[in-house]
Formats: sequence, structure tokens, C-alpha cells
Amino acid sequence: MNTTEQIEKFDRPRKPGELTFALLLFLASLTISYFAFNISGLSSMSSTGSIPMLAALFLLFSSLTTLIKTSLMPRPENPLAFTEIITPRLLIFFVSITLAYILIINQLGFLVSSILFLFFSILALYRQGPLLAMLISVNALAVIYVVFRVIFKVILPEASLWE
Amino acid sequence: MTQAFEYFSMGWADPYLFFLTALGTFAGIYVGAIPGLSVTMAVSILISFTFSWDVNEALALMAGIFMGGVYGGSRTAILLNIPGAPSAMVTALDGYPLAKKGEAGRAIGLSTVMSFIGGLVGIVVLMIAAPIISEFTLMFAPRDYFLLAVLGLLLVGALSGESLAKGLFCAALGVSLGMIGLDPLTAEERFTFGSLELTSGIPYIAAMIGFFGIAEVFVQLHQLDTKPVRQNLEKILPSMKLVKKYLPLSLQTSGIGVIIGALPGTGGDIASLLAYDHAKRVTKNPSAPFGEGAYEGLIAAESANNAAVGGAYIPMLTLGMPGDAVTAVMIGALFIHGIQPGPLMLTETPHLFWFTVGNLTLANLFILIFGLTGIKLFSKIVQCPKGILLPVIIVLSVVGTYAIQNSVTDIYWMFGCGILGYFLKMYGYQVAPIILGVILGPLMDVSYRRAALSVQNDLSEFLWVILSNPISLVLASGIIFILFNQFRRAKW
Repeated sequence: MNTTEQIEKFDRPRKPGELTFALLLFLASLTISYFAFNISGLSSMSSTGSIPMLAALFLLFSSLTTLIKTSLMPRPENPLAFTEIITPRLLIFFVSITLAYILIINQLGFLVSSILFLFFSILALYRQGPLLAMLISVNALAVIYVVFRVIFKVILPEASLWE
Repeated sequence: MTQAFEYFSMGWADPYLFFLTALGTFAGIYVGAIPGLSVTMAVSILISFTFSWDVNEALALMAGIFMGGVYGGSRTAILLNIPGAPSAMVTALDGYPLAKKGEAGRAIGLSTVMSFIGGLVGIVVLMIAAPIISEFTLMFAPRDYFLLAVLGLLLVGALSGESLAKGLFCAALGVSLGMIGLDPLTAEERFTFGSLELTSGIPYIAAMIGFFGIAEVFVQLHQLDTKPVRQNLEKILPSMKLVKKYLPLSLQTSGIGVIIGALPGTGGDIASLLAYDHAKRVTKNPSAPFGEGAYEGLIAAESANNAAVGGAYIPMLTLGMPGDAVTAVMIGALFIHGIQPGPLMLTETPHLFWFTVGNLTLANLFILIFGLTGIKLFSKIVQCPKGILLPVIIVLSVVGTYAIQNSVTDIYWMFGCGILGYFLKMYGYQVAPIILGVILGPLMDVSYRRAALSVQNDLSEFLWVILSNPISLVLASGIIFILFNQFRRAKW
């Protein structure tokens, strides 16, 4: 089968990293199946593990089907473009800053960590300078704080660092 | 009857509940209308703030968010050709061509009025049908609930996106996630790996915010620089003559919407598609060819998808079955508030049912008010740059997740689900079946095992009971019918 025929059959070529992801999901399904079987084995129809095993069976079947189908898809035009298409630099930055935000929220508290997160992410994503980024961050956080903390009495993470 | 009316009007008479319904509708419309942000995301983030509230207050806000969110999705479909929700997909077919002709204002006005009519039809049917269905479902045995849960899970066929295998995978993953914790029948541990925190299961509202909110934000980073087109938004209010002219079509398509919405496994998207098809067949001289700005196409889609909301409440409140991803999130929220949707809800807590119906009616009225006013503010919010919007959504998601049980661990769950959801979305998996599995998995598990125990784990007896009982037989036939019809045509 040539590439054109392959693309017609599968609607689209494989995306960079798609085969690896399908393989990872298959391996995860194998692991889940192992733990599902270990709950109670095939002791009886109504055993604790019956539905988890059934779900695991579907996981195995569907992930294997997807793995086979993905492996038959036409190769991506540029297999090395994973970092450009799936994980571009901006995404890596934003995910990292989000991770940092949720990791420091317990130490610095909601207000300080949120203002830092908003400022740096708006600065990088909106690209209109630090002054505007700070102005927007302060305003957005003030609105969020007033609406949720003051009006709706929602409890927000408090700082453990200065306690 | 008097008591039912009292419960119905509670949300109307109490100024605070009245305000909360208005606020929910307003927030639902505006968040649901932001391009790229789905109604499910809006609902899952916004309802997370209600978990520490009184049940009535939470229900008032939730009804507003749901109604407003479904309606809000149509706004961006008309203005930007980006449906805010799958149910607004069909709205874009004629709504956007109308906007391109400079008739965005009229299209929004007409869709608002027709959404209101559709919503009203849905609520009336909910009021009449739910008590009858609820009475009927009291006859259901555990095996029937098991079959119902399987029927609901077959919705993956419609939610699978590019591949059924991927949809099946996500549904099975959802069922597995729903199994984490202690077995409700024997208290044995499942997938806990010795962790005490996992014995109470995964915080699934946090997971929902991750899959629908955080993952969507990461996906939206790829379209950071997409600029929305500015529209001329004048002449919002449609003339009485126009409304009268299209009222029969609106009522017909509302009828279609409410029936489709009430079927477990089908929601506003299929309802609006079928209604659009109906409008095409019955309209001899449309205002413009269908797909090029026909009012009839817009009216059919909008009446049907809003009527489907009332319809979707029927299986949700009477059977505890989600019709689509949004109702799945709503059921999750009801559980957290200690409300068990199902046949006993109407007999044991009728006040909650009538209170909800009253709130939906109020929210529907607010759609009319907010839909026809504040259009300039609306266009400003819709045009808010994503560079500002996306970080704010992350902060809101964190606040919402933390509010559930004041736990930072829940935020980590949300983030993890967000990362997984991002890769799933990027490789063509739909995350909605995961939520469907999380909600229906435990129902399927408990009802199946109770049914198996009632026949002493005898498989042949189990099958015989299904075949010899009329309700079970109808449900089993429905499953086989859907399996043959939906899966035969599916792309693997």
C-alpha cells in the first residue's frame, strides 16, 4: 500500500509520538489487568473483582486494537517534530509554571502564589510587557478573591511558610 | 399539588435563591460562550464552588449554570463559527452564515427566544413525565439497573470521536477509576495499593476539572493567536411577527429535542441534528437555503438543544443515569451534596425535585433576559485574549478543586488528569467517555453483583431471569439493538 492509499484508509497520518503513547496505554492496560485479577481472581460471578476485570478486558482489547491500528497508519511526515507539534516550548513553559504554582500554593498561600503565577504566565502568553501583565494579574486576582472568598466564603489555601 | 407548587416557587420567592439562579445562568452563559471552553468545563469548574453550600443554594446555582451553559454555547457558534458545545454544532450551520451577512444580532435574538421556548417545553415534559417514569422504575430490579448502566455506557459509540476503540478505552478507564477504593458491598480494597487516601476513591470532580478544564487550557495554547472576528450586534429583539411565524416549527423541534434528550445516551447534539433534519424536510420555502443562513435551521437547532436539557433531567433524576457528559458532571455534584438521584428521589425527597423544576423554569426566564441584553459586554468577554483567559481559568480550576474538600492533594489529581487528558485529546481520544465510566461504573458494579447474588451466582439462571422478565427483556433488546446499529457502522 502506498502512502496516499494509507492516508485515505486512515483519514490522517500518524502524529509524532502517537505510537509510543498507544504502546504506553497498552502497557498501562496490562498493569491494570494484573491488579484487577489480583483483587479476587475468578472466584465467583459476584466477586469484588468481577467488574474491574471486565473493565480491564475492555482496556486490553481497545488499547491493543488502537496500538495495531496506529502502527499501520502512515508514518508522520517528520517524526522528530514531537516537540514542535505535541509539546511546543510554550506548552512546556506553561505546564511547568502551573506545576510550580500548585506545588508552592501550600507554602506561599493562595494570594502570593496566584499573583506570581498570573504575572509570569500572562507575561509569557499575552506578551504586552510586565507593567500590563502585573496590572491584569492584580485586577483578575482581586475579582476572584472578592467573588469567591468574600462573597461565597470559599476556603482558599493558606500559607504554611509564615505560620 | 399545593405542596408541589410551594416547592416549585421556593427559588422564586427567596431573594437569595433567586439571585443565585440568576448568577448561575449569567455565569453559565458567559463561561459557556467563551470560544474553545466547553459547557462541561464551565459546569464542572463552576459547580465545584458550591460543595460547602446548603443544598438548596447549590441546586439553584447548578440549575442556572446548566441552562445558561447550554444556551451560551450557541453564541460563539453564531458569532465565531466555534460551537461552545457539541449541541451548538448545528447552530453554527446557519447561525454563522447569518452573522456573515451582518445579521448576528437578529440570529442571537431569534435563537434566544427559541431557546426559551424549547427550554419551556423541556421543563413541562419533565414535570409530567418524571413522576410517571419514577413510579415505573420502582419496579426495576438490580439486574435492570445493571442493564441500564450498560445501555448508558453504549453512549461511547456517539462520544468516541475518530475511533470506537479509543472511546471504549476511555470508558473502560473511567470504569476502572470509578472502582478505586473500598468495595461498597464487602469493604474489600480495590486498586488502593495500600494507600489510605485511596480507600475513599478518587476525587472525581477534581478529575473532571482536570480532564475538561486543565486539558482544554493546554490544548487551547496551540491556538493562542487566533483572533476573533468582530461582529455588528444590533437589532437583537426579534419581531413578534417573526416569532409567531416560526412558533410551530419551534414547538415541533422542541418535541424532538425533549424526546431525544430523555433517552439515556443521547443529548442535545443528536437532538439538534435530528431537529435540523426535520426542519429541512418540512420547510418548503426556507428564508435562505439551509446551510446559508436559514432562520429555520437556526430555530430547529436552538429549540431542540434547549428542550433536550429538560429531557436530560428525566433519566438523570428518575434513574440516576447521565444523558451526556454535562449530566454526568451534574450527577457527580448531586452525589457530593448527599442527593441520590434515582426512582426514590421523587418519593423520598419530592421537594428537591419540584425545587429543581422551579429553578430550571427561573433559569430559562433568565436566559431570555440575559440573552436579549448586555450584548456589548458579552462581545467584550468573548473577545478577551487567550493569553489572559487561560491563566485565569487555571486559577479558577485550582480554587474550584480546593473548595471540594480543602485538600491540596485534590489539586495534584486535577493536574495529573489534566496532563493525561491533554495527551488523550492530542491523539484523538475523547475524554467524555471517561466521566461516563466513572459515574456508571459503580452503578453497574453494585447492581450486577446484587443481581448475580440473587441467582446464587448461576449464569444460566441469570440469563433466564433477564429473558423471562419483560422490563429486563426490553432493556436487553435495546442493548442488542444499539450494539448492532451503532457498533456495526463505527470506525475502529
